[in-house]
Amino acid sequence: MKRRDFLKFSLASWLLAGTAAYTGKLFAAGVMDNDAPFDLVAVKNGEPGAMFDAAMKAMGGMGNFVNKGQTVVVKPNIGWDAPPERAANTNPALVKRIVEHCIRAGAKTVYVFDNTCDNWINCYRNSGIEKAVKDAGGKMVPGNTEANYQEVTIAQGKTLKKTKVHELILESDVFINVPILKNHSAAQLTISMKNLMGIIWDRYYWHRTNLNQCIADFATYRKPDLNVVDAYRVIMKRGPKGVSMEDVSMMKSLIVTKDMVAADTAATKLFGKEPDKLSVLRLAAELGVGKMGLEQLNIKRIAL
Amino acid sequence: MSQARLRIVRIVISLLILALVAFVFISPAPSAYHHLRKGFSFFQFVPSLLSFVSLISWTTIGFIIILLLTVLFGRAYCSFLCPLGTIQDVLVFIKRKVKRKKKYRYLRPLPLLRYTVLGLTILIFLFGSNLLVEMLDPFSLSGRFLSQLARPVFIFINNGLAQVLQSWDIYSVYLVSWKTFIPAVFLVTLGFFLMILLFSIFRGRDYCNTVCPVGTLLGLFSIRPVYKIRIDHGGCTGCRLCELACKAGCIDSEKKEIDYSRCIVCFDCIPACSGKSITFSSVPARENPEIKTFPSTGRRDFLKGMTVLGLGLVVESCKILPATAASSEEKPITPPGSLGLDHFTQYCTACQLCVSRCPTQVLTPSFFEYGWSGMLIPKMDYMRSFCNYECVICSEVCPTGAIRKITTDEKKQIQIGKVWLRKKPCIVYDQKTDCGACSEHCPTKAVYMVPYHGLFAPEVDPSICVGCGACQYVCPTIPDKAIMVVPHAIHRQAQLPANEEIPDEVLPSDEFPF
Repeated sequence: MKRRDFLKFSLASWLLAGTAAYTGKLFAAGVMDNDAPFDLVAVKNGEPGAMFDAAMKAMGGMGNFVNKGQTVVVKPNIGWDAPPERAANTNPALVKRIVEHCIRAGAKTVYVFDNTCDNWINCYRNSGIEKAVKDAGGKMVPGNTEANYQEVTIAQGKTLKKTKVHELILESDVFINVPILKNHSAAQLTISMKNLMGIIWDRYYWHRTNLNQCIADFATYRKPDLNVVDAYRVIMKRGPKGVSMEDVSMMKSLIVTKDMVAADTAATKLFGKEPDKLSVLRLAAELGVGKMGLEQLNIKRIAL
Repeated sequence: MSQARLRIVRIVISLLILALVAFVFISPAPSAYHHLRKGFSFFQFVPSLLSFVSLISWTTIGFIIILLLTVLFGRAYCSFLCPLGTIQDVLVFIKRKVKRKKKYRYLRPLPLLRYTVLGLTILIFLFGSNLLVEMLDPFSLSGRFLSQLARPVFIFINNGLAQVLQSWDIYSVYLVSWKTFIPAVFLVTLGFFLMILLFSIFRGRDYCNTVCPVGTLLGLFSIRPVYKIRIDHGGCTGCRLCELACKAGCIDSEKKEIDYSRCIVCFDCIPACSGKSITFSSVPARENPEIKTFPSTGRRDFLKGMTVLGLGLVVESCKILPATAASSEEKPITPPGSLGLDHFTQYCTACQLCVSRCPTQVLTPSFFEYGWSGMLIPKMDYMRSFCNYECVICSEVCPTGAIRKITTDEKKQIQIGKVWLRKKPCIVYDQKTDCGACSEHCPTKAVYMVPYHGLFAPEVDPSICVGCGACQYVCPTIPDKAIMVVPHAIHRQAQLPANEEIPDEVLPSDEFPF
């Protein structure tokens, strides 16, 4: 897909999504709440795959996000060389189910990648994600080569004006962001917006140039078409990699929404923290990335 | 079986072994195949000898078997097992495809040079530097040729292929970088390669017979091998074809004698003989009984040389020693399992196998950082990469025991250096914005974040630091890092990270907090 087409497409899909949300609101007043399109779906007490199934059912199915013949890029967190139970990376069963949904919706190709922190080969293998994606029929793509990253301009960026983004993000029709909720030593929590540091090349420029502002700035560039926050197992301390199983709690939750700020606000509350205390959320909301006021959203809550 | 087939057998076996060695050294991507090195390192003389000295274990007695085989069959090691020998054979084979065949000639032995080199190598090693072992050992030389010269070519091919496949949406072959390219190391390796190339083209296996300490040492054990190449003096027509075919230059066809200390048992002479008068056997044929071959002078020369050298070198080496041991604070960081500077530099022969196989490419060949006596020995370079907390591949591939085999659990308690934080250049303390890349990457949380004026700033607990260098590598400050690892000359024990109390269980309920 050419950049121009891509921009056209995103514009169109945002307009469409906006209208849908608006009409949803109109009906929501009088109609049964599970008939309305939801801004955010939260699921509890299930296995990762089952929770995603339930969430997508409430969201009207993956067909609302992926059209036949489209290319999809799924971006989990695969940053660390750690096994699934340590919860340093997105749950492989969840990634697998997402890829399956995309393929069932008619996606031409489903790409999965991350620009990892630890050695990428170990991360892909030991996270269990490589196998999960291959089993589901998706394609694992290396994110380790600078040549695959292209410089883009962040029009709305206050601090971050330019950064190099992986070409799969630029070229794919649909972008699904699949972060895992974790404690993070530097950012307190890492959720949807922080996860996007894995689609750019030089994160250390961000680190030395006001990290939180850069994260918020970049969130204005390409909003994912869907954010799926994995909160099945959650690193409660010593994140983002965690040191041992002592750091991990079972939360058995999942949040699905198009709005990264809403996703991160809800996930912050799940974690037991005050969203107001996370400066990155405030900065992103100011830039219009999404809404922190969850009460303004039409939320579907499902306890399995 | 016709004895001419022995040559074919030798060629096949030597090529198989070289192929195995080359595969383990060259394969561009990190792979599970590094365990294949066990298939050759047991029977590589210097690695086996060094690991025996370092580990004292029956699993490293390959060199004793080689010595016994040498007493039985002569220096077959040099023709069958030595990768450098086979590399030379291959080079000559290629050269002959390009240019006319050059006939070999009988070469006069150069005992003084041979035994001086061997004596020096041993003496310097005994005095704590393996500089000559490292420079001259044929396995380590081969390793450097393969990892510094051949591997880049394969990486180049791999990356070309990867790009073509990527354009077809196939990602099974991926781009591999070569972060550990050090021009000086590359040039030294290239220099040695050219030297070996010239030797093998113009003087056959003269490197093996005058320079190589392993060749000379084995020569001392092959003075009267039980099985050997024999010339049937009755059948010999004096046609000299055997001499012209002998790459070791050890057949004196005028005297119809073979210098067994230099014969590498390649069997090239057997099919070359016009009259089937050369055999490989334990039974003396109709040999000229009064002719004694060179050997007896070999040992004498060696002992003579050793005595002279010994006296001179005791004095000289004592002067060298302080230079290697002193100022260890500025010396590089050595990999986990290598115990520390002294052990590592004593046993590492700079074959670069760990450098080739290190998945993160943190192991980098050094040039002069260990001092001149430790040239080319790998070091941990945290400006290029960092050591993976869970990985012990270098300890599994090291053929000499310089990096001892360790388990992942053992590695987690080895401190190869410790963290040192300078708050002044640190982003958080200096620019008053959040950063925390160091703590984010720290596998033990020896670097942890504490509240600081509404931000979070790094603090360190060196007791649980393993010295992996992740913090140093990722620290984004320019030009100097705000956090780095200070080397330990002798590795220490790292405390295991404490298991803090289990966080409050988030119990499954039907309630959502929003």
